Amino acid sequence: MNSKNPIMLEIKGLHVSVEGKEILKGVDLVVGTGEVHAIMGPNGSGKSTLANVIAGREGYEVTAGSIRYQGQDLLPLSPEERAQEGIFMAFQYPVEIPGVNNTYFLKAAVNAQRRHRGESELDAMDFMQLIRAKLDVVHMSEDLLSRSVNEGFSGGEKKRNEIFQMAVLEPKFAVLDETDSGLDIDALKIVAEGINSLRAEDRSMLVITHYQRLLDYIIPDRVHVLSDGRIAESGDRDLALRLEKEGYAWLREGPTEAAQ
Amino acid sequence: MSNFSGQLAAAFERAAPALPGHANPALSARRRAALDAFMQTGLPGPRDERWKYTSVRALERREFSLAARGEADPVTADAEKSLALGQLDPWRLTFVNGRFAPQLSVLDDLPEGVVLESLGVFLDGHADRLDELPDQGFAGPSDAFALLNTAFMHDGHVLVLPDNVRLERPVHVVYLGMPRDVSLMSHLRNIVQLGENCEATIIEHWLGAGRENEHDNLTNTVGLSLLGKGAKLTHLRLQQDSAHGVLVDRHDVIQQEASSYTAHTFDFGGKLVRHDLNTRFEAPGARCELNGLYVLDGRQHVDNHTRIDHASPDCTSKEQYKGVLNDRAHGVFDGLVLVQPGADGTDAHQSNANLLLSGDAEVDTKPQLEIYADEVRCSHGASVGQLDEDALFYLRCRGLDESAARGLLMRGFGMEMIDRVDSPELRQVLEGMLDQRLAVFGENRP
Ligand SMILES: Nc1ncnc2c1ncn2[C@@H]1O[C@H](COP(=O)(O)OP(=O)(O)O)[C@@H](O)[C@H]1O
Ligand SMILES: [Mg+2]
Repeated sequence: MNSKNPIMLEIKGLHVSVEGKEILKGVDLVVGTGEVHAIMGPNGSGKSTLANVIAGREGYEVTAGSIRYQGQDLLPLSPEERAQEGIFMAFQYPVEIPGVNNTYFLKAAVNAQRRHRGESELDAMDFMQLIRAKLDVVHMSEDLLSRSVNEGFSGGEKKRNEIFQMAVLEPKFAVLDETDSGLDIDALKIVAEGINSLRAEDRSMLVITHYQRLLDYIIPDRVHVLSDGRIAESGDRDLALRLEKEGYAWLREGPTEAAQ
Repeated sequence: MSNFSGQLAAAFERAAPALPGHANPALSARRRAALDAFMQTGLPGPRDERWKYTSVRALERREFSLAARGEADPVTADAEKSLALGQLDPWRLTFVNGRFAPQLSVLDDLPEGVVLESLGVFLDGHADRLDELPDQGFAGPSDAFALLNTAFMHDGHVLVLPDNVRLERPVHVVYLGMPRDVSLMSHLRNIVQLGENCEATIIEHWLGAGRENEHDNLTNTVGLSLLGKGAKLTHLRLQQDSAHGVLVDRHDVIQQEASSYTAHTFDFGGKLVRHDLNTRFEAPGARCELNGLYVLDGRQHVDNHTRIDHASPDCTSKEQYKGVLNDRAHGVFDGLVLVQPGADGTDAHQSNANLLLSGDAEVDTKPQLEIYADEVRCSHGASVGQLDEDALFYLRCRGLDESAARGLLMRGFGMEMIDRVDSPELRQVLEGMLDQRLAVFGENRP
């Protein structure tokens, strides 16, 4: 379980309730620096809950356990502090924000993070240069920049916009929540290539997916299966291939038995 | 007779001999008749359904000096700078505390046949054209402020375009308030007449330069726009009155066949504001679009009444007003869409959306559809809500702190209305005004 690389994120015995209902029932997970881990699992198993707890969403009550990020307790931090410290979540359902121009929003985000790091704010020119260079990462068309955030974007455009934002913000730890869902095969390849191009020695990723097909393009270091609020099984990418073949049904009989 | 009425009667006797057009007996009689009619009714009270949520009773306890003709009050360099509208190079009429200020106005190079001048000049020079000065509007009984306006109107603007003229530059009409040691009352009357196939943009701008002004000023603007066949008018209404400003504004629009009227009303300032915007389709195939945004905090009170009269078939109206309210601000939206018998083929859509950011802020919204025709497509709706929590979380996840995230969402809410303005130069000006407004939003205003 322990990683050979320095630890980026360490989750221990995490229990999380939403509206009084326990969703995560003791999650343990260690992600080393530079590693890409995949989280798979059936619908409703708690994948998005895990992503939201890492991002700091209100209403997700941690009743037991801990999350440490780069050696520090993550839980007391607000969502914006986490973002400023280098945590990024690509939303399963990116939010449409009418009237807020995509470029204006990104500039505010980049400069908020730069201020936090004690760097000078980028002016309009430098900023445009930065984001133009990042459009290629997910082959995003430039006219999306002048539109309102995600408003009227197709499903695929929204997902691309998430990865584009990740490319611009250059986080240290990224949680990608079902970034592959709703993409056709061509868009999936483009998005996967974009994500691969953002893999780096000092950046870790948690790639959440319901289907293993994304993992044909993004080869994970580890694969974990989340089932009913617990990590039921961990392994290398062969685990993903087995899930593809056998589905999630065997999880209910118990992983050890099924593995024999 | 209330103290207020007595004051007005005395003010009228003093002012009448010098009011523009005073040499014309018919006009003088009309003024006096309007004053008499006002004396019968007085200011509207809470039992008047149209003034249910907006009380003007406090005016009765004020002493007002009438802004008469004569030299305009001095204007500071800062105030003069605030007249500029970004990159735009408009024709301009500036009224300082209700008085026309030629030195702050730009009226050169007008196209052939175009009349653009102050009402004072117009009435003095063309008393014979009095018939072109329409009296109170058409929407129901004349209201008290329109009567007062007829009695006292001492200035305003007149724009007359002969057929087939397209104005390349916008017309910027500024009602600039400079601080004075008394409470001032001004009554401005505006007339716009577009001939067939004309095109023009008018920017009416209520601008209070003196936030430190401790006196309540009453500005009473009444306007009428007549749109000829195929004419197109874009009408921006920027309200940045001072924190002590009381504004009562009424504008009536009469539209001929296939004409188009677009209004964008932005209420950023003022203490007590009432707008009445009434449009009427006199002939088929016309359209109007009424957009509005109010951003209110402190104890600001802004009331937008609109009335769209589909008196002819095959006309289209689109109306959307949006408001952001903080502190103890109070917003009122009352919009009537009236589809008259025979107005088949009407297409009318109306909505009012509000963000309430404080438990003490209040909004009264009343969208109304009255339909007396068949074969119509109509919709209306109103909403009152808070900032979208999902959107707030999304922004915070990208590193914006909570107050920046809230600010960005409010800005977005307002930008949606600014984005509806066609001219990019104007959009830029408006964007600056919105940012300026939001920069001090929710900071305890009186
Ligand atoms: N905000 C919420 N309110 C109530 N229930 C929730 C909320 N978020 C998630 N849940 C519940 O938690 C469980 C796990 O959901 P989720 O984490 O979204 O699963 P997954 O992403 O694996 O499909 C589901 O039963 C879902 O109904
Ligand atoms: Mg999910």
